[in-house]
Amino acid sequence: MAGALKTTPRRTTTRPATPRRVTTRGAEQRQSTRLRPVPKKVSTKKHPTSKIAKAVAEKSASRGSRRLILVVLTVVIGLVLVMLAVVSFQTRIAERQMRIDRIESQIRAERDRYNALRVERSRLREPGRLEANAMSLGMEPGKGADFTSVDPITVAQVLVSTGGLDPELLETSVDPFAAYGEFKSIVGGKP
Amino acid sequence: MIVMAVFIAFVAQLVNLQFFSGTRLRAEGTAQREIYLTVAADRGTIFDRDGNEMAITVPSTSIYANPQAIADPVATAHVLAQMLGIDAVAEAELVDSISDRSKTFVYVQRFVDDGVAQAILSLNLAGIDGVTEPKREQVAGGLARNVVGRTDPFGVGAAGLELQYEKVLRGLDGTMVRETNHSGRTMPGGTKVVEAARPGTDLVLTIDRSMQFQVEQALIQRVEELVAKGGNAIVLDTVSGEVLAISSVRRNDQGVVEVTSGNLAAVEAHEPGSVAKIFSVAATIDSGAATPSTTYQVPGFFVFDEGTDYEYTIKDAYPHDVEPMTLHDILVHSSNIGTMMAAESIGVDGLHDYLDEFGFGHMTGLEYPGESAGSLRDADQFRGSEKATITYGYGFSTTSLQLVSAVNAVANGGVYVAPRLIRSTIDDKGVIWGTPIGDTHRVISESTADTMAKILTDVVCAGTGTRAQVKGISVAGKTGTGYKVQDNGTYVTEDGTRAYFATFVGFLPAADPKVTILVSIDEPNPSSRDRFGGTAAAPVFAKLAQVAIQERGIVPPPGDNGCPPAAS
Repeated sequence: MAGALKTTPRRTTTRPATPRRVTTRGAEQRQSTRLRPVPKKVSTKKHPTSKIAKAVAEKSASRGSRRLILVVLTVVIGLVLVMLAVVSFQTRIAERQMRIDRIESQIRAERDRYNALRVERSRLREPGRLEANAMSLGMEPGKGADFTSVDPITVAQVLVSTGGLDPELLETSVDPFAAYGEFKSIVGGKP
Repeated sequence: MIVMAVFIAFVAQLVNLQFFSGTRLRAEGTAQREIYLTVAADRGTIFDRDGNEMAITVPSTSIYANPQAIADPVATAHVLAQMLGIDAVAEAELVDSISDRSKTFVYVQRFVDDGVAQAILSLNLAGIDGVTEPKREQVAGGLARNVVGRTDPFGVGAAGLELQYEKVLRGLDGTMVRETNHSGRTMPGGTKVVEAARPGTDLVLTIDRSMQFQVEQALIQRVEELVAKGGNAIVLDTVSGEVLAISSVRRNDQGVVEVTSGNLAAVEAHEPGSVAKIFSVAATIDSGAATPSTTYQVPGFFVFDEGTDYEYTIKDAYPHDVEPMTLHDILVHSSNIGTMMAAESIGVDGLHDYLDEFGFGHMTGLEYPGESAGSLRDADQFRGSEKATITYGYGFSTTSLQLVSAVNAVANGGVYVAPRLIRSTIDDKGVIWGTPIGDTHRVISESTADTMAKILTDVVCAGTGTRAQVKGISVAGKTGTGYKVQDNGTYVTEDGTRAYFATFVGFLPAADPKVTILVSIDEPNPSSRDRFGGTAAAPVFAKLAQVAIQERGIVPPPGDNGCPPAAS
């Protein structure tokens, strides 16, 4: 733009009207208060250069608005991206929460099923039910116990002939609360 | 520029909504759709000693309403009433409750049958939903309900162990938030537990469920046979004092004999009658005042305060002249006067001290709700004939649980061990905690206990308790037939009849006791020959002894073959 101005003859004629434009920037700033009316005078005189100035001003305005648009666009895009990120993040959280909810729901359902099975087992093992079933099969309660003493020699002979019993096989008692305690330790405090 | 301005305004509003007003708006939105619910903690399970559930909490569906989401409460209530089978009055109440739009949660009905609940929920009624809640159930046909007790409709312990251990069993409630849509129904994935509930501690009882069942059945059968008012039966583990079975039955207003909801064996106190002779004789022997062979000249009757207003005649159960009786025979044949003469040597003070040590007048340590300590006055408060009657079981009262515990002290080598019902607990982390054995203290020496066991074996083999015999194993025990105090303050009703309290307490094997058993029959038919301890209660004892032998795997010690054949 500066080169174009130099090649224009009218540019030189206009110079005296604005001689202080060549002054240093510092001097211009110092006298800015005093010089402020000058451009107005130029513009009211309908100087031949006003169209160019207007064009330049328009171009400057256009350049400024473009810059503003760019800034705004950048901000908007940035905001949109941030919001998208936020929405995406929240969606992921919601997805995971739903997954947790599903798993917790499954745990609840399984625990309820476990308890229902315990109740069912307890009912099946109810002494009254067992007695009724046994009696329907023709059984009857034992009338008493006969205590028979076994000859120690016979016991010894049996032990010798069988080689005794593995102690582990003799251990038939199972702690009925071990499995239950384990279950409770895992899901006892869960919802 | 206008477009730009609009766009900027739009973005500004978006930013405002998202970042500045978002929190407030989200909170407002959340408040509109969220309902906070209490997550009831799972109540602890009550097990028997072998891990069988006695009382358990099971999930059950409750139907609730969100009045704010119900457009037509009357129609909704009518549909619900039809489905739930509730009457017009209840339906009107339901209309009132679900019309209250200030609330977001109102129970329609708790613990609805699963099928009905599903049917209601499948209708998708606006503002009606279901929630799963824990419900207490006594499985095993309500076995030992006299001990286990019950909870109220809100799951709070109301009686028995459920009440006694309420704080332990109930756990800690949690909080749950539930998101609902405009029609008040739960949104998918909208349920979140804010604070998890902590389940209650489980109780493992000393009760053996199988034995408990057989004890209850035997007792009911006997009470029905004797047209009695009721009865109690208790089986104790001799060494540990663990209550293996405890049952109380009572004839209801319809004449049906059923297991009581209250633990009468620990709550009701009666004069023990002749069973108390065990303690008088044990005290006499233990104090060194007499031996089993010490002989007394026992008259057939004895008159107290003769010629005064307080004249009172004591008789033996059978008429006889003055006859020499050893202390052994006095107990075997249950002589009132003989016991009185023998215990006279230690005095009322001495006997009182022994009775106190045997646990009479004190709570057993179970701390069972409503448990009675019975009554045992101070020695100096006994007057006239009371000083004599206390020796054979009148003048003080005891619960069946106290009585069996006292006899158990003799069975346990002279050491009293407090009965207990809780074997262990299982906390919310699944850790099993054993409960310590109850209070123990020596009452009589081991040799006195051995002597007493031998005499009591003879009571069963040759005395008043022959119907308690068990083939092949020795049984020691004592009969007791107490007169019940009537409303008029005497032992005789206005029409001249008496009410009996027939008891048998014993243990087996006599030489190495494993179980101690008490059977009491309350008010057997007074005109029946089976109104005495030896005839009403002893046969049940024999039956329960068989049960104990089978359930506990009891075998007689070497050389123990039960009563000699001639005595059987």
